[in-house]
Amino acid sequence: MKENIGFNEIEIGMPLGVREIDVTKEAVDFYMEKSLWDSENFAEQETFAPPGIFNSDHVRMLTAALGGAGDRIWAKSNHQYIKPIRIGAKLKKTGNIADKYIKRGKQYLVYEVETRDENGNLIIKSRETSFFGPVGEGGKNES
Amino acid sequence: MKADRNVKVGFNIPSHEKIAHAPSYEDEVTTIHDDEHAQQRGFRGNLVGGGFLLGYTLQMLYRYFGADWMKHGAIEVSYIGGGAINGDRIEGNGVITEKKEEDSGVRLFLDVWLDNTATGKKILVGKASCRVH
Repeated sequence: MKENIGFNEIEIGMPLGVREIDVTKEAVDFYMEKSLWDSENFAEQETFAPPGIFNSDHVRMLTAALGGAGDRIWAKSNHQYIKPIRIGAKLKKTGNIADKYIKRGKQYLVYEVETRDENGNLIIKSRETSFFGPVGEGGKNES
Repeated sequence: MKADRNVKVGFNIPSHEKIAHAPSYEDEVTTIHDDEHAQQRGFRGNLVGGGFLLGYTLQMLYRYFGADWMKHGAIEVSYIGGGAINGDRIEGNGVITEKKEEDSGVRLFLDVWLDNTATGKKILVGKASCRVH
């Protein structure tokens, strides 16, 4: 893990690196168990992964790029689903810092992530906003 | 009940209930998902990750839209109201707010939200849409 990069040092456009993911049936079953998916309500589970799988990888990309393991709390999420995630696919997620701002004394990072399959097809477009840094009482930033 | 293009604006899609669960991961990177740390920071406990709250919402939308959601779905949400901890009962809801003709189908627009019945607060609010045939 990298040494922490402070909020002021983060540059707009900074890449978040590449995260490669093999979409296995085991990964699908693991996610469905952890996220309480009712299997009877996901008829495509032998063929496709449920929407929402691998979303947590976005914050892992952020941490891999910026270092540290501080209080990262999601503030907003925006996802556009374009193609189903096929079991057996090899996904590649790439992202970059799109914006940063301070609101009511709290620091926020906005980052965009594209998820593509092994053929380069765009699967999901995502834009996430995360609170960045320490959290004080009631969620108020300490710094 | 599945989505269809003839649904009326104002229709409430079937709600979806979950007992919130914050799974533990060996490679956890976010300190707020540590119970003691979260309490020291003023929260009730280890917060259920936003990705899981979104996941509960997506399950509700998938149940209504079916496979169309994975090709034509879009969602934008904000996480508010202090979130949820293990054991909180969460209720997802959505209401059709608008319909627009689009390509070979109709895009349905919804307001979506999650209520945390343990705290009485909304913990996720947002807008979603999906094209149906």
